[in-house]
Amino acid sequence: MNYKLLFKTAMLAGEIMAQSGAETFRVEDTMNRILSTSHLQSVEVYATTTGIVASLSDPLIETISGVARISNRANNLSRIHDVNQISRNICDGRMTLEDANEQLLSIRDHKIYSKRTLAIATVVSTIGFAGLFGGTIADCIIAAINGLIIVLISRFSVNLVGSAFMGDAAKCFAIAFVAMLSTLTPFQINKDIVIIGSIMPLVPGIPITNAIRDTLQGDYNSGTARAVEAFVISLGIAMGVGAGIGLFNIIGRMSSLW
Amino acid sequence: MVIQGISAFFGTAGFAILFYLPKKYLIHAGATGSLGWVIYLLVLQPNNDKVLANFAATLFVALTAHILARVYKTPVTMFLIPGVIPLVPGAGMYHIVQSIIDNSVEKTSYYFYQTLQMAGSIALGIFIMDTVFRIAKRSKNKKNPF
Repeated sequence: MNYKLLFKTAMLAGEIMAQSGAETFRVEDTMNRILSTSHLQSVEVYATTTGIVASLSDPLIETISGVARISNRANNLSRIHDVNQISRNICDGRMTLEDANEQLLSIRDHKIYSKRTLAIATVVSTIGFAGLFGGTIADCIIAAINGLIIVLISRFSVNLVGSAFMGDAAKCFAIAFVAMLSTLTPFQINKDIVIIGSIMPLVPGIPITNAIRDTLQGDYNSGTARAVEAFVISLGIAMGVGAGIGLFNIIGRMSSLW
Repeated sequence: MVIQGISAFFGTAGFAILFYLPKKYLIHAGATGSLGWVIYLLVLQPNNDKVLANFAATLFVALTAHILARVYKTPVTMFLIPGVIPLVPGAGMYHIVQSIIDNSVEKTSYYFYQTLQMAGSIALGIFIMDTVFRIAKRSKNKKNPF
């Protein structure tokens, strides 16, 4: 067996999973399973949210070890699913290492949804969440406008604002401001429902779920990291919404003076 | 309630696309989120206890996610993350911000406490289901559990 290739494959699988927002224990478990197909004496994997360390050793071979730094993370469930499938195939012996390595390398080029689909999904989800909280049709229409705003800002904010934090804050600022403006129209808009429905697609669902599951698993390191991530995202949302409502109130007060 | 349930389906499915859930699971994830929200509303109506309703709905969503994951041999996350989204206290977050702007200390602390409790109830729900399935798995692996 080509241990170098096995190690490379396992490392790549772990790296893709960690970058796509998989739970830490899943990353470790997947790498462990792949490396264990070598039946060597010792397999050690240590993963955190920001990096992976692994080693494969046996008296018969030279120890192989490696480190992967996980810097840019983007949540992507389909990649987790694909890597999971490939790792199952390797462990069942249904796929050769060469094939697996090739498929893992091509996962990153594999885009399942186009930009347009993602834009439509954003609008559909803001409408859906506004309806979920009991919004009327008028509320849903304003929520749809907010969905479009989210899409536009996320298209342009990649270059404009560096961090995801400021991007979220900018989106929420616009959402809150539009929702407040819509209350000036004659269609009885419930601004609470519009704002809540529109911020739902930005809510940190993956960090929260992973924080809970990592902590339960005993990965306190990753658990706290995810909890902080969730808190920072929430803070960005709160700041944006607060600034939007605040600005509207200030403008309202100033215009009433004249 | 029917309209809210249907809206929850689209909200959840739309959210799932944003996180690149594979196409073949979109309907499952949407249905999980939608049924979870209906259970939330059903428990909420007689008791008017948001925390209890959230807990019951999370238990249901986590159970469904674990079963679906075992049926389709895929990570639990695929169904758990989209399903839990309608229950995440986005509304609580908004109310906190609004009461801060209104300069009301009582309202802020009330909503802050409620939001924390709701987040805690989600955590507890996922904890319990994960543990139940892990015990089930362990007793299956051992030939004689007792």
